[in-house]
Amino acid sequence: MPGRTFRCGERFNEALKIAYDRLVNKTGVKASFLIQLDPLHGDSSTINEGLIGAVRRDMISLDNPSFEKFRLKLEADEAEEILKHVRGGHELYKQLVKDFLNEYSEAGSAAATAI
Amino acid sequence: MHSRRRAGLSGLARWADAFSKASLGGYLRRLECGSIKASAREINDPVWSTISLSPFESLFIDSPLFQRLRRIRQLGVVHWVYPGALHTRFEHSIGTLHQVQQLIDSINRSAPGSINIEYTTLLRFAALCHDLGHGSTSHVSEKALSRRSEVSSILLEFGQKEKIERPALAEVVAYFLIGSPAFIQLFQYARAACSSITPGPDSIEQVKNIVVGRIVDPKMPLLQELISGPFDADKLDYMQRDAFMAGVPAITDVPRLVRKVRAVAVSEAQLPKRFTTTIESTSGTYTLFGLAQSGARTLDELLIARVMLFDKIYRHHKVRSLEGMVCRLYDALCECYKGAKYEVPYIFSDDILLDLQTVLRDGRFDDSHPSFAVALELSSKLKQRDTYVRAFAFGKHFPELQHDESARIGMDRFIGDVEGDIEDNISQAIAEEVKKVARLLKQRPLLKKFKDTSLRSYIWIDPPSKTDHGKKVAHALLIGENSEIFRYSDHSVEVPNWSQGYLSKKDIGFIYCPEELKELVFLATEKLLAEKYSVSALNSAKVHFKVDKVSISEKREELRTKRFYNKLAHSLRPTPPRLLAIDAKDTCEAVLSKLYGHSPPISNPGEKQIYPLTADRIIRWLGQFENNADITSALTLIQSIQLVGRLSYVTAVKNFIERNRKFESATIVPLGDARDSGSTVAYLVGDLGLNISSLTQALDDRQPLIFVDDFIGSGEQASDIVRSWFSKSAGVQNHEGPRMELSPSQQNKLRERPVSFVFASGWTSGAARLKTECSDLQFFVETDIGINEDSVPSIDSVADIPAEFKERCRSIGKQLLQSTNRSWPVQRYEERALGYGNKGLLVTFPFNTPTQTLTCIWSEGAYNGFRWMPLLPRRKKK
Repeated sequence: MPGRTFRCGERFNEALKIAYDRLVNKTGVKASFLIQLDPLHGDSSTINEGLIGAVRRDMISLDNPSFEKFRLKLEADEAEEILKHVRGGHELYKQLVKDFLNEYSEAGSAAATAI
Repeated sequence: MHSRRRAGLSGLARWADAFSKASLGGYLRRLECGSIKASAREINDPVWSTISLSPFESLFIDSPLFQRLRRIRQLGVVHWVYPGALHTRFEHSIGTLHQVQQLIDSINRSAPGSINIEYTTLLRFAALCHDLGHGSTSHVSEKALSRRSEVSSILLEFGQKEKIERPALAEVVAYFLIGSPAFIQLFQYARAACSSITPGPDSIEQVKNIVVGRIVDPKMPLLQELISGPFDADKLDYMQRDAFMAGVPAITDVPRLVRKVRAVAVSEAQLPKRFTTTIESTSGTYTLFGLAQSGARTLDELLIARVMLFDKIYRHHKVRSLEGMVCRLYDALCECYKGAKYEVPYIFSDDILLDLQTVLRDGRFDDSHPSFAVALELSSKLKQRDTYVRAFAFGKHFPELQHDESARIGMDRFIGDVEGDIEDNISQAIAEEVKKVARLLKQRPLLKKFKDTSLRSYIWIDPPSKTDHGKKVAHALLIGENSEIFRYSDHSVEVPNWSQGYLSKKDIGFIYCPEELKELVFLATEKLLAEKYSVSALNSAKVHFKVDKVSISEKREELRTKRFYNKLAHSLRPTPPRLLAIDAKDTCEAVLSKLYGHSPPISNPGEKQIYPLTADRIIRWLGQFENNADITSALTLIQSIQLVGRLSYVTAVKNFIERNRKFESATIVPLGDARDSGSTVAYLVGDLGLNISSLTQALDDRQPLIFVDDFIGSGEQASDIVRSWFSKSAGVQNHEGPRMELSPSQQNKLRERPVSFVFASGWTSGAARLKTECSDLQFFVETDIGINEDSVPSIDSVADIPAEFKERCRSIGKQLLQSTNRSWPVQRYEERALGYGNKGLLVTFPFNTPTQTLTCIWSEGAYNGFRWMPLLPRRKKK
């Protein structure tokens, strides 16, 4: 969904970590990387570098002035085309995205309730 | 010290124990018998001047395990580019000790007693130990080994076990070396031998934790970050030292940064929120370290300096080339090493790596393995500084990719594949193409001089960096005048991201290889990218590497004649040499100017990019012809294409009226229905100020009528329209539904007034047929054509078009029609191969191109199995 924005903060990292853990535990996928959030700062080098890679690959853009939000630039057809070639099959990635979005929106609702 | 049975993390741990024991054995015996005396010393350092060491530290530094670091260069291969950068992990480790002392002093000056003597000695000891795990060439061997699945799986196992996200090989090895029995013995001997203050008895576990970045003391949760953190001693030393030794200006004000470091005691409630999720609740206060707010600018400098160091030193293209060669050398060494592969970097020092001839034959390496000779070859090349060169550049930000979606996606896939290519499949695929190219160009003897017959060892693909440059520094805390705490990343949002963005955009990927293979690798990569990733003609990338354009062009042409590119779609094949000539571009520009105003149909309304006619599109269309002679003919041909547009429509009607005054007040009526081109023509003829109306409305008054259309061919379609009005349709095949019929009264009204049919262009025979058909219906009309066959250009009217080229156009047209109209009778393909009527017209209209025009100009379809891109696409009929 091009134009959709995300805030790359703790909520984002935690949602991604949960989705990743669920994928690994549920499907038994042997990932070649780990996502482990920094215990003090709550971020992850794997996630950070993934985002940097996505910026470099023109899939997302970081928004001025805070650069904390990023905007999806990938069109649906481009995403489908990329998914055709991913290792492990596109279903795996679609599930990962689904889990991530569920977690991300749940975390958002919880934060909103807390406020 | 190697064994075939060792595997996995436990194998690495056991090997570290053995390595430590082998390194320290003699030294421990000397310590045990008291032949080594502990004494404090002062070392002169080129960067920080005098550095003081305690007796304990002196004893530790003198141990062979630490002395080993003298033979490991801090920057791996950088000294081959910056000759002064010969410094080693040895002086860097001592420099880190010095810097951590500076940080401690500064903290204690601002908040006396914050870091006590036990933690001071611990941090100094950790500084000395933090790089103990490096193998030869430092991060270069680490990078080479981490690409091997047997090593990456060990690192993953360590990460899972210790909950560390991305442990580096050197960190893991250091972790196990520090915990090894021999090391612990060294620690105990050294403590016993020193009467002065030494690290506490628990220091071994604490140093292990610090090396892998774990919290040492929950009451001081950022203590370990003084060794590895946002403004750590490691960084403060290596950034200054690397810049100084390489002779590159350093812009970080390290003394000021150090002076601005502060400690602040906070209650549990004052801890940053995230910290409270990790740190157990205890009584009392917590001590945090940060920078005084007034020192935030020094962190900006740190980030900017880091950008400069990456740009100028660490990611210098020649440094990356040398790193690639060393990685390939490690690949070869690992292949023929009999033990666990992670041991290889710990066998040699940097210098011995360049002189393997004798050292390799000690039984640990299989000298009958093919990789053995490759290792010797690469070592020798490095020693002679016979380095790999750039043969190709790639990245996502080249201008050509911005308007080509499939190429953009293809490049994205390529970068992703390269990054995940642990098996080296892409290098292998390029190597296979290189062999093909060499065979076709009769250059196979060139390949025989290389020891690795697969050629993989000579191709190194280095993708653009995605290193996280700013985040770690962004973790820093700033401390305000009233001890309030906030994050540097909130205070200075731009700099960490600016520095990251600068490097992300600037850093591009390269493919390196030996100079002799450069052109072959270029041609092979170009083909691979086109074939597998739909990426072609990255002309702007060529400024990043040097290939001889003339030589490449000649080789391409030779490959073309040998059908090397035949499996590629035409648009992905290299531009033929004929189209690189100056006159080709000039001709295309002239054609473009002549056809100005042409607006092709949009085949897919959802498409993001609507391609108007451009010089590039003309070049690409011409490039579909297979040889230079045909391209020359096609260049001549397209200069004759005529755009019959607004002026032609208006002129045709105006001239007709001037000759036939009774039509001065005529109503203009589009011939056919709303879906036909007559509607557009009628609208444009409205420039003459005449009324425009539909046929049924026009029949309500008594004005003469002028039916208009852009073209009349055989007259069949126009006749069918007229017959329909009079309910006499002969049943001409009509793809677009039934034609309009008139009522008897409307038919009479039509017959009772002057009526004319004016076509902007067409054939007089067609107009004559229409007139006859109308007469047969008792409908007497005038017909006129603005530009008739004497003036409409065709393939036969263009001078210097050889018969062979006309036949080529016929063959292409036939194949295109066959691929798009599969149910036609066979004869029809022949009849329309040069356009409807086989007259090969060279005419187009502003919004469409008639079927009478040469088929290969307007038709899509497949030619020789590949998609044909039309020059002037035609709207598809439903």
